[in-house]
Amino acid sequence: MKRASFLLGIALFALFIFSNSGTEAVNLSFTEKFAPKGGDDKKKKDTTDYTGTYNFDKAHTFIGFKVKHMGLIEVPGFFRDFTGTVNYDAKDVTKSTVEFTAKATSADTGVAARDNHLKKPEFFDVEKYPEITFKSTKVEKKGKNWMLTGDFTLKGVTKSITFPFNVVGFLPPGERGSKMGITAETSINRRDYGVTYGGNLPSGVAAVSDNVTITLQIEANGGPKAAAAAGAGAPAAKP
Amino acid sequence: MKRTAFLLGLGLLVFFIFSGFDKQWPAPSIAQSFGRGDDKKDKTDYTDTYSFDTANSTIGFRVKHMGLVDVPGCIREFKGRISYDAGDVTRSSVEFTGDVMSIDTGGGPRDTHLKSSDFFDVAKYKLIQFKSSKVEKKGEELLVTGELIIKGTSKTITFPFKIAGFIPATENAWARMGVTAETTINRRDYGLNYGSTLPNGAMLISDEVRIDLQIEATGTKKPAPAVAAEPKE
Repeated sequence: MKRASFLLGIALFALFIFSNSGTEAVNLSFTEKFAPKGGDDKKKKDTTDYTGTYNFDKAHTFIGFKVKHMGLIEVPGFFRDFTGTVNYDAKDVTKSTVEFTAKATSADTGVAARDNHLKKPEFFDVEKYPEITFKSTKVEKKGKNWMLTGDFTLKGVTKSITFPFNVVGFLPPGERGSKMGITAETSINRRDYGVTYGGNLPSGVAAVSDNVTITLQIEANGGPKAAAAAGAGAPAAKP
Repeated sequence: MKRTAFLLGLGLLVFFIFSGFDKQWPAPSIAQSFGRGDDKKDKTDYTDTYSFDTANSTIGFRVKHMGLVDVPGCIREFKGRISYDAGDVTRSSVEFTGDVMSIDTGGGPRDTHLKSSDFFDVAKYKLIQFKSSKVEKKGEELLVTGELIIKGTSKTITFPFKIAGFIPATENAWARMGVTAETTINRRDYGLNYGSTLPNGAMLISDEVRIDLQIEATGTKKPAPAVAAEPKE
């Protein structure tokens, strides 16, 4: 009897170790991974208030998408032309907002003929719907994950979507301001937005998947600027 | 006692379900995920030489910028070939060549910079090449080993790949195979040394470069005329 309970205990313990905790480990944020627990590190002492407005850095921001082609591999693309803004509230991240606009005509999948096809009414219908927009309505924390809800408009159809995002980190203020990094990934069903082109192969597999993975890798510039050289780098003193 | 044994059994069951058990299952192949039964009966011998379909294949890479986000890019112009042996996959081989001039990270000054001697030095080294020397099966995993040449430096690398599946040939189209692979290289191994470290210790451009291959390739065989096949039985 004792032995049995002991084994049960082990089993439950193992269950605990191999299931839950493993999942959590994967979700460690950048700061958790790289900031040492000790108090010595400069990064730990970065008490900068990063509250501010940040504009997407076009050269280092990627608004990408991927579809599955013929059930085989993923064909990626991205929007070359976009603008976006993050209003970041460091004290209460749930008060932050984000919005961006991508030019539908700037979709680039590396093949001119396909890009032209994407502009047609069968896909984005860029003449009628030149812009793809996202405007956040809510930022929440659920457990360890940050969730963003907002109105996503594609081909004139607006849907409220919710997806997790990760504030990767900040670069301390220089004379031109600070830099923040945000990543997010979600998927949408293109048919929800009236993008219905494509049939099935004889095997039943879709030539172009309904599901579209959206990848956002955003670097945005703005926020606090370094005070005149003297104060640069020094932690902001709290009043 | 019975009750304890029952609980123990239950505990183990739960353990199996939630922990490693599902990970040990081979990831379902495309045929398993989408098959309608006839895929199981797909007795096609897919042994053939396949050419990369440049319209649907991606030779992509990503670097971490300032420790913040991944900046992706790809090589637009390339050609490649897979010799696939369906009977013994370890006898298969793959090789491809990418034209560095076609490097694309979103255009503009960065692509020009990448072509300069700070990075790829296209004037001297026009091509990136990979040629497999070995294909192995380790458990469920397939591994390819080969020579990767970047900027005139050749290194032997080994990385896992997956055969995503096959699409049978029709009278109008060759058979098609999908292969995916992801690996990481250190760009400094190949003499791409540009970049500095920021005051906070983060690297302007990471040394590690993630390589992401999404390959669709078309074969050379077309089906025998449909009429001849069936009446024989």
